[in-house]
Amino acid sequence: MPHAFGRLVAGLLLAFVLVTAPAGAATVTVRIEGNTVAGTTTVNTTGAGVPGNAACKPHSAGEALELATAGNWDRQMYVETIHGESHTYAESDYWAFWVNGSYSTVGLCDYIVQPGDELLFYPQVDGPGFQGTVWPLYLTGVPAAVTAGQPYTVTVIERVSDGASTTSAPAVGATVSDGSTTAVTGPDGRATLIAPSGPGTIRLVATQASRVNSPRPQVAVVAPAPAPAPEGPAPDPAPVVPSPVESPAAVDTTPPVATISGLRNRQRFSRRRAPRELRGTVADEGAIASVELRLHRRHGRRCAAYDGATERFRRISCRREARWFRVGSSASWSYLLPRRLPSGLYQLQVRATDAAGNRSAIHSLRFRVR
Amino acid sequence: MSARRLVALALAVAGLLLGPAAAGTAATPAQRAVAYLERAQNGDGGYGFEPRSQTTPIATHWVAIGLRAAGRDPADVRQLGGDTLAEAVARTATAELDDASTTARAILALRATGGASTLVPRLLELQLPDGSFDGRVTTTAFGIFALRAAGRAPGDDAMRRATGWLAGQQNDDGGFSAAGRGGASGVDDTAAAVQGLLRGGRGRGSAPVRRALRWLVARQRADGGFPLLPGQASNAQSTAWAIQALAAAGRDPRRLRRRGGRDPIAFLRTLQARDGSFRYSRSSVQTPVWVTAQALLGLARRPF
Repeated sequence: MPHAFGRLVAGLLLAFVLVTAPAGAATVTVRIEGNTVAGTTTVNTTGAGVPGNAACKPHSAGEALELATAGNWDRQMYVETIHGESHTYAESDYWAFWVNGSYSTVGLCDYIVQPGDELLFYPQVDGPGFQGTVWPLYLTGVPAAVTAGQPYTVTVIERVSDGASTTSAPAVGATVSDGSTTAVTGPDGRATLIAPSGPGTIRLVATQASRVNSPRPQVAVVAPAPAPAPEGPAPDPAPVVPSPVESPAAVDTTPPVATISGLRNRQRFSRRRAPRELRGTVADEGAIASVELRLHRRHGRRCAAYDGATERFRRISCRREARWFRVGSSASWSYLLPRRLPSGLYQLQVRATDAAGNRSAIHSLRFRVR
Repeated sequence: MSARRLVALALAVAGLLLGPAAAGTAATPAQRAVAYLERAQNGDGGYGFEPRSQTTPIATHWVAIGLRAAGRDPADVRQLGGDTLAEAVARTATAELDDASTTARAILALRATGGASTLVPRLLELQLPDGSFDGRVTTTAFGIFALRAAGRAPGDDAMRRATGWLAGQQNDDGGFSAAGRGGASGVDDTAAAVQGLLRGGRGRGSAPVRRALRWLVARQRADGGFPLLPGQASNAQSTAWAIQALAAAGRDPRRLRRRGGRDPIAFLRTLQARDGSFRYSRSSVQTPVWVTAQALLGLARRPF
């Protein structure tokens, strides 16, 4: 226990030094993600503090905000207005202040900025128990450069704070955009995009409803490396260096579990309420490679199978199975039929395959449209 | 005649009488899409990629362009007590003007609001010495759209250089790739290039336009739609791009039916959900605001 007490004292002293120690000029990024104003500004603090607020220390986050907004904020220790946008807790809303992806437990007039800091201001809305409900997104694993025309993967996390500490969680269903194309993150928070086909630069951003947009890192798009010359002696192969800690890879042998949602077995529908959107989920320990459906229709003595390519029913023998068609690789799959299903007795089946090649059992159900 | 049959007959007669009137008041796909976008607007007048998500310049500008194509004035689009879309466009138009794509799109969005653009000098600063914008086909096409929207004539020096660069990027197969010659031809890039060449002054019968259209038409899938790249599934945005290119070249997209299947506009309509939004594809609902805005351009058969 005395040991722990010593650590506590040391920690408090360190925090005191960080907060109060005089600092030199620092270049920091101020990101404002309001409802009506958004932008990122890089500023250099000079130690001038905040005019009219002597409590705001030189080189504080308050001074950085002063520089980033050209003084267009209310200059209070507890910020209520930035660029005319006010959050006064009238509807449990306030300007949250974060530093480097974590909720700041120090006020902006006391926090002394460090070179390279990212200061984030955004409107937070408290829910029950004074817990915030709006969390910022961040992109991780963003490459400095990607190869033109090639896929690349980034991860989106949301940073969640309980007021004392901030933790990360994968952002599921967030949209990552490079300005031209988009991809949606899966259960692991990862999204794969295809780089533009030619060199240049792109700017990535992750967005999601009720979340704060991520910073917008710029990524270089470089031309693919030229193919090796077809002639001439082959260079000596590089020596193979065995990995010092090569742990045996865990082999995933667990198949995914695919299910259909929103429909019950033997359910009956009127023609007007016939299903149009088919949906369901796939549970797996790893990534999902594909989700496939097949849809069989029986009407009187005739049978037909839905063709995913032409998006039409084609007559088949009632003894034959319908063909599978792919509906993506999302753990939360959905498929919008071109129109509501016509009268008939239907059998809908789903199966999924994970990245390790394990295939799920077929989930099947029948329903009727009168 | 039993009472039940009498009621059924009466209902049938009433249906016949009221049917045409009811059909006359039914909202068109475009009207439903406009209504969806109006509901998806944020209080600041802008849009995120999804309803109620944070405003971004990209989504805001695409919605302004899409609504204008559908005949809706962005100055009239606002949530109760909120800013108008036109105000949001004006506010976001100057954000992140460090790349030509954003700048060109901002100019188009400002034009969609009826506002004058002061961003043309900035766009011209971003034009590369080779005449392109960012060295990318689609961005260069957007640069041409923006310059034309701002009143520049095809004979203007910046326009000529951009159009010349664009024409030089055509692949041997007739298609275009995002960066130009050598990359895999794609639908979006080819459709953008067709419109860029036409807006840049090339004739509908010119060889680059004819070759590009031939490549494009051959990419239609059995479902009637167009994919981003050959072999992929059809999606709403690539289909909208293709419709725009066909319309720009004077072709009627409704007559484009692969093996008697759907035309691209009919395919687009099948992606409309109950709430009026358009899905990206059968199996993806990504960025519904952006997709719906772009689908409006396709439904209206309105080129850039």
